Amino acid sequence: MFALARVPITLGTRATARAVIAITLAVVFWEVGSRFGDWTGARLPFIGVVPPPSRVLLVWYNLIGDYGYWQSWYLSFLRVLGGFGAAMVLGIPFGMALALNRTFYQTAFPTFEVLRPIPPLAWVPAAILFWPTQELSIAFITFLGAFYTIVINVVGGARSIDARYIQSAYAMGASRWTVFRRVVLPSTLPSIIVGASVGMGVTWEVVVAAEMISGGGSSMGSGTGGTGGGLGFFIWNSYTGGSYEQIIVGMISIGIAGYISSSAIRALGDRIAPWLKPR
Amino acid sequence: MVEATITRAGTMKEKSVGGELEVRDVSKSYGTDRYPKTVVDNCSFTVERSKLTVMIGPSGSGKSTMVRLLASFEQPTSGAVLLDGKKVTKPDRERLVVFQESALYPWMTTYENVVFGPKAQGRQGASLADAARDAIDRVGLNQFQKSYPNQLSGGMQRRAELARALINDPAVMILDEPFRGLDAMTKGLMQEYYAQLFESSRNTHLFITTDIDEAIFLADRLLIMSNFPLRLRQVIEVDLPRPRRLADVVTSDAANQLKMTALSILHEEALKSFAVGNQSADHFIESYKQRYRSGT
Repeated sequence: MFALARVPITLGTRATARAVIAITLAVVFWEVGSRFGDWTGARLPFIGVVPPPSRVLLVWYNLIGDYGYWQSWYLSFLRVLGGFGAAMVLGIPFGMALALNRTFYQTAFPTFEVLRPIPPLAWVPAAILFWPTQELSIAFITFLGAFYTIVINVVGGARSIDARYIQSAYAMGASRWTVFRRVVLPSTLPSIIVGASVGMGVTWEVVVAAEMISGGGSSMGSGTGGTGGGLGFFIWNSYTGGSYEQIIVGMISIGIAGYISSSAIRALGDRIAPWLKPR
Repeated sequence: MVEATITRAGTMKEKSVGGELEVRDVSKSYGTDRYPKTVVDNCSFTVERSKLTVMIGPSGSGKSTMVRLLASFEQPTSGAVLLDGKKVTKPDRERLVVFQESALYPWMTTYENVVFGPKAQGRQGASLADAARDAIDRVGLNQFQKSYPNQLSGGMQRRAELARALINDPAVMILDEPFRGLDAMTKGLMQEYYAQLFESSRNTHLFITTDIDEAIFLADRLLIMSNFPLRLRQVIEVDLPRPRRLADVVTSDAANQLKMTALSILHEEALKSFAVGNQSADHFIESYKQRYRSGT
């Protein structure tokens, strides 16, 4: 069942060629689409307002040496890692306890289920009020984004363990602790990894929105890249400053950051769960 | 090959002769008190010491429930399971089950799977490593010690599971249709292989199957079970000489005679598991008989 979620990614030459061609075509389409108005006087809807990739690249190139831009990366990553890390550290034991202890489940799950549908962004005003610093508020909201996903996945994974695994472990003389450590934990690991990668995605969505809404927290750093309040604030700042190219730069930066994060999770997953690797 | 296995088994530490498992007036019902669904109905039989007992019955007759009761994964509603005269209520390593589909841990290599039991009991060091290699060797998987279960074929998985059970040296080994789902070729090989393993150890084994040829080939004693709810219909002693080869048993008149006897009892039971008015089971078993009367 897990195999379905893992289409083996073959980095053959053909696959690479297709990726390169597809991206090139998309960029060419974008360039032509947004320049069309300059050439013919008839501006295309939607794409005609977007700055062309050549201009975006130029702006990006100028930002490479900009401290504020990299500060935005750094701050967003820090918040994502902080929130995500806290969600893992608290979510895995919490989910395990929910799955394995009936009393705890009956006590804690109803509350959890009432809080879960509240979108993390709905917490923004409350978080700003409750937490002493802006930074903590953002971290808390990021944490919430990943926490629910991780807990639900851990509970689901730990509850769907094949009963025979546990029965035969006890029959072979294993203690409860051994069964937990050597049977329950590893068989939940695939779900934990899925929860982590989905949670990581949610974390990026949430951190960017939280930065935009809360104004980016501390205004460290300087330079043309904004006030250094994270990539979300970088985009917002570019919008208020009227630099449309920078908006695009910020957006693509988030895409790249998210891709790096999920690749890291996948690599880590292959590392700690080598039996799941496609043959 | 048979000699080789015996010598290898001989080098192992003193082998127990196995235990004797008794099922005494066992019933098992599920559902509520008002609407009970009886799966095992007042069933009694003995799995005799150092013998290979085969339990055969139609599919869906409650055999797997009996397995869970024998291993104490579940408790009987009434009656008792006794190992060497003592009532048992908790799973322990004296009654190990080899399950229908592989229950190897997917996150452990063959070697890790095999040493799981002994390690859980606190065994370690070189003697354990030797015992594990020996067990893996006996099922012919020494090339695959570091493979994960999903890298093994179906037949290899079953062999790995045999090794994992064998190393614990249980008093009674319970095999619940272990070769189901294997292709005919692999199944035949596994049966011969398993027969050799048994002949070299002579522990107490209970083998559950729906396959009459498999049953006659393997059994010392054959327990023919009724259709749902499960009861013992008849015991047949299979006194074919050991070591056995598949080819010999297929052509043996004595084996075919036993098979006919068993089939005529199973016939009635199999019919019960078909819908009323369905004649196909009848026809099937008739033609099966015809084939053996005209053949050999």
